Amino acid sequence: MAYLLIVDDDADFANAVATVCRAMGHETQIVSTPGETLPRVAERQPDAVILDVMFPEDPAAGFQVARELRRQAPDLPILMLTAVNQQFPLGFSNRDIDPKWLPVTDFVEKPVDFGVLQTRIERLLAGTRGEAAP
Amino acid sequence: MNGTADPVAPPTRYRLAPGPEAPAEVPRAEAGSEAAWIEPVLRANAVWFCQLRWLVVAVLLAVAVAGLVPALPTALGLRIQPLWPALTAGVLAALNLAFVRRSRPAGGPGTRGSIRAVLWAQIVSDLVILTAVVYWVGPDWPAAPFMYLFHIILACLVFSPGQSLAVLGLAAGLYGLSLGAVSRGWLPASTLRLEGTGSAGLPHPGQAGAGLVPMLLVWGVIWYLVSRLAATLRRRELELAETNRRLAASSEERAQHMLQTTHQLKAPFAAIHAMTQVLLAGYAGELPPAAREVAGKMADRCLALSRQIQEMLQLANLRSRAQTAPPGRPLDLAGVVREVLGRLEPAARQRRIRFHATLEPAPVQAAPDHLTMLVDNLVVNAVTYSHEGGVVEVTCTPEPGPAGGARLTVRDHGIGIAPEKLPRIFDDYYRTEEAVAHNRASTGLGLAIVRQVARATGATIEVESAPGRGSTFTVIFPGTPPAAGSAPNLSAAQPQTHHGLPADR
Repeated sequence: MAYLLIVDDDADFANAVATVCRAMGHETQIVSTPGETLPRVAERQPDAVILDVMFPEDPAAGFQVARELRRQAPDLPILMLTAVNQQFPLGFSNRDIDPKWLPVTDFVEKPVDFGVLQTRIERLLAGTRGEAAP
Repeated sequence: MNGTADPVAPPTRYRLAPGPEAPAEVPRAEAGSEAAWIEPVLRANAVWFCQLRWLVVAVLLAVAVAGLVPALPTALGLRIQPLWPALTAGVLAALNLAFVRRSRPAGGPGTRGSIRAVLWAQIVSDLVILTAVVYWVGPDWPAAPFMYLFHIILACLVFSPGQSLAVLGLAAGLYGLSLGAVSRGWLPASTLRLEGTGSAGLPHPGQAGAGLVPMLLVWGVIWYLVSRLAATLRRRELELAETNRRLAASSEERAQHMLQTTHQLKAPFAAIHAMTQVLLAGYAGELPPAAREVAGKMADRCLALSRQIQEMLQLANLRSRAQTAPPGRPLDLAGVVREVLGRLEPAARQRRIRFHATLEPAPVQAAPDHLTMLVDNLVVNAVTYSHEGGVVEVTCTPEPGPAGGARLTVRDHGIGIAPEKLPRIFDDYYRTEEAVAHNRASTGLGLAIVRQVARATGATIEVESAPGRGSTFTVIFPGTPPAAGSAPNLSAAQPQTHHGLPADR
């Protein structure tokens, strides 16, 4: 059993993801603002973070959180859930969405197929790096 | 396809040439300020003057050469000393070389002041040299002083009315000085005629002044007319630039608004889709079969809507000028096609559609995401509008010739498109009735995305289609500009022909 931290401002979506993770046998914690993330990680380090990109106050807050997480816990696996990808650089710089630079272990585009999500979480916890790996 | 197949009728060909990608770049000038756009105009004028000056140098050299063959001017009753025009041409050419160097765009702040200085230097030196030429030609060529008018008119076009009046004053001063110097005997009289007027024909200083007055009047009238016209033109140009800037800003704002709106729509659908999956997976308790079916339909419609929103976002992003365009780089088109075919193959297989791919390494210059979007949409279209069990042929070849480039062909044997509908298929949301009958779920945005990417990469699209017999989309990519970078590293040298599955599957 792993402890997963879900960072998403959409409570319905976060709860649905948490339901799936719990069904996989993992413990989950939902954080709805990017600012809460680092203190929660400092309190208790999760085995992986499932992180959204866009937050109401900052459409690219997820990238910033990912960078800070990388600094604080370089080995912490991060799975980024995003309604954007390289093809929709809404307000992001090209550097933000360059998969070679992306400071996350893997990313999945929203809407998420939960079959795909389960596979990615398993892969993440097994220590295999996904598409975002350099 | 609802249309009837005609085995005899030739397929219709439609060509979509690369059009303007976006409105011309509009300088972000403050309203009423001409600072931002005047500098390139001045620089262009400075360059143009340099080009004109080479013509004058050529004419002076031709006159000098004519002077070396005395028979030629003598036949015309003239006597030309070749030294004068040759010397003048040399001085003018040397000055022009310096002006050409100074007129090049240097970039950076402060260049505007220097380009004005270059223009002033050009006009003043031209007037001095012209005065020398007019003196050398002598009073036997009454049209010579009219050459000052060229400079007065050009000054009206380039400078403010006050500054062009200063140019007129300078021209008058120099011309008057040359007349006065000759009439007072400070300079020997010069003439081109064989039987020159000599000193006997020198005009009296008073006469010289009287001759200058009507000339000044003519110059003054022309200065007034041209400077007024030029001022009106400049004002109109400023108004147009401002209107253009506002239009572009408004269009940009609309595109941004659409981006935000569609993105806002995507997030709730992601949540709805997630929750229907929770229901379907039984995480919220087992559902009775009828409820499962309803939840399944909800999930399907959510996905379809998400896809539509995704395509709207793609299109809005491609059209949004404010977005930093992803940089184009040398790519192997075959690699992109192979990746797309690999990804789409499972979906094609569900409809028993096979890919037949012939992929040769072909260099193109494009943004990787955009190129993938183009290929993806063309192949998805071919699969969507094929009949079950059909074949989609994809070929990718380099263009022959030194210019390079690449050609992508996607051919299906599906429903086809009626000739009269071909010109509209690249329009947003346009779907033929036959297409809707064949597949209700398509958005009508796929080919609009293809067109947008083709425009951005300078590619041309050709479509050949016959109702009931299928369509062939050919995209011709331009060659990689030599300065754009090195050629892509193309791994496979031999063409690869695939039946059924793409190479990497």
